[in-house]
Amino acid sequence: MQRERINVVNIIPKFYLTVCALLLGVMVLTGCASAPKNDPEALAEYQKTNDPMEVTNRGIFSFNQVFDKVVVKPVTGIYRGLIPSFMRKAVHRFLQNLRTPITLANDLLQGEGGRAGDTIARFVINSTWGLLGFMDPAADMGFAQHGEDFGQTLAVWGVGEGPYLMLPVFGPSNPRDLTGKVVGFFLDPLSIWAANTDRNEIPIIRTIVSGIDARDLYWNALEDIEKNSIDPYASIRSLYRQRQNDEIRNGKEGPSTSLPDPDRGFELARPYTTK
Amino acid sequence: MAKMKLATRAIAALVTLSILLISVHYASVRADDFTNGAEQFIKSLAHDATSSLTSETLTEKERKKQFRGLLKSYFDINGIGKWVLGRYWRKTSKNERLEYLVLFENLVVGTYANRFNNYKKEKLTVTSSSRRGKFALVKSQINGDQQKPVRIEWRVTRPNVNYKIFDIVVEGVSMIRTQRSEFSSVIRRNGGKVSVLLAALRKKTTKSNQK
Repeated sequence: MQRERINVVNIIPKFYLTVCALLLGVMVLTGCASAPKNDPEALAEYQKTNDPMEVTNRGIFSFNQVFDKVVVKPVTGIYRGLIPSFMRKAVHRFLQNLRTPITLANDLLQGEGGRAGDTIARFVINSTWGLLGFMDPAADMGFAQHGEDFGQTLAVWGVGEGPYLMLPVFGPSNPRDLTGKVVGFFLDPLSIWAANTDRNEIPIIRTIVSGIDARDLYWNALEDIEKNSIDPYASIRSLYRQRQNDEIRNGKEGPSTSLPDPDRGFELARPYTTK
Repeated sequence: MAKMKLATRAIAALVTLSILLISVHYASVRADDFTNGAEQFIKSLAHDATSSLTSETLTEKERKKQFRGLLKSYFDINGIGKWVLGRYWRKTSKNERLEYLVLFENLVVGTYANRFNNYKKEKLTVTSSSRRGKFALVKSQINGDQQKPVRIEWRVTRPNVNYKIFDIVVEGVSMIRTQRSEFSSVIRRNGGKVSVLLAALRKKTTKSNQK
């Protein structure tokens, strides 16, 4: 009985990886959408969008939307309905506290000593005073929360993001971010401990709860996109990439923070003054 | 004769006035004044927005009307509309442009007016400002019930005497950039036809106005 349960638990990630491998095969076979060669402006836009596998990505996005509608959103809706907001926030903080080893390792790999200190202080304070991380007294003491992962470290080290990817179930990503997530997952002390003690269900439960927590966190944003966007796929792609860049820079301004040119297009007649 | 005197006086007054205005304008081009003015401008927007949008008794229609008023006085909404359409602006006819700007404004009103339902107890604090090119970048944060305050950067220009907001960057996400990539994606996927975008906007805005 016990053995059987563990087998099922083992199958889920393998099944997911198989599906991903198959999709990757499909992507390679269907090839990259042809880049516009004749129109330099269109080519520039194509390169800036950084989504050569858009056709496949959009297919996966449609699948994700159905999966969200049928599974993730209803489950999260029940979670939101049953658990009051302050308790959901506590769950979120608990999950964040569990991520401490990953954040700390990457703070150090990025040479961010000050932030590494914050991470340690937060872990010590919140795991004790903060009741196993469900509360966040450290924030009130001036140790603000931040997250890091190996994908961000790779970016800091100068690794490019690669083409935009839409992953089944997990959503927007890119090869750099995906590598970071996978490395983070396997090097996480909690995963290692679970694997060594045959508690394989623990990382899966954690992944599922984190998924529900993330869906809960993005609830309003996603409602907003669903209601107001005329191309949700493109909106999410843009939002994802901008957020990623901001997180890599740790919210600071960088050379990639480009400003729009407000005068562009003004050289032509202004329609509302010419009439 | 009396008429002549009046005319010369009027001209003299006008000249003085314009010299005054120009010098005021030039003085304010100096960096500190420009960014300080922009900070004041954002503070006054925050004040106006809380007083006119967050009242509990406001109906949705009234809120939208108030929001449209704020949008027109504080934002370079037509300039934003043009920027968002990007390279396709040049490929549109005059009539399409006119319709597009109206639809774009309606879309912004429909999208953003209701967000103020959630901003009731939250306070906007201006933290710093700096100048970059044509922009004053006013950094602020909103302390809500979230774990961390939300970072908001206002990108303010001064196309004429008045300041105008050109972009809002929330936690590193530029609103106009997101909008532009959405619009250009719709146009590109429909054979580069702006008319398809207009049709989609028409559909979206009538839907949100009926609600």
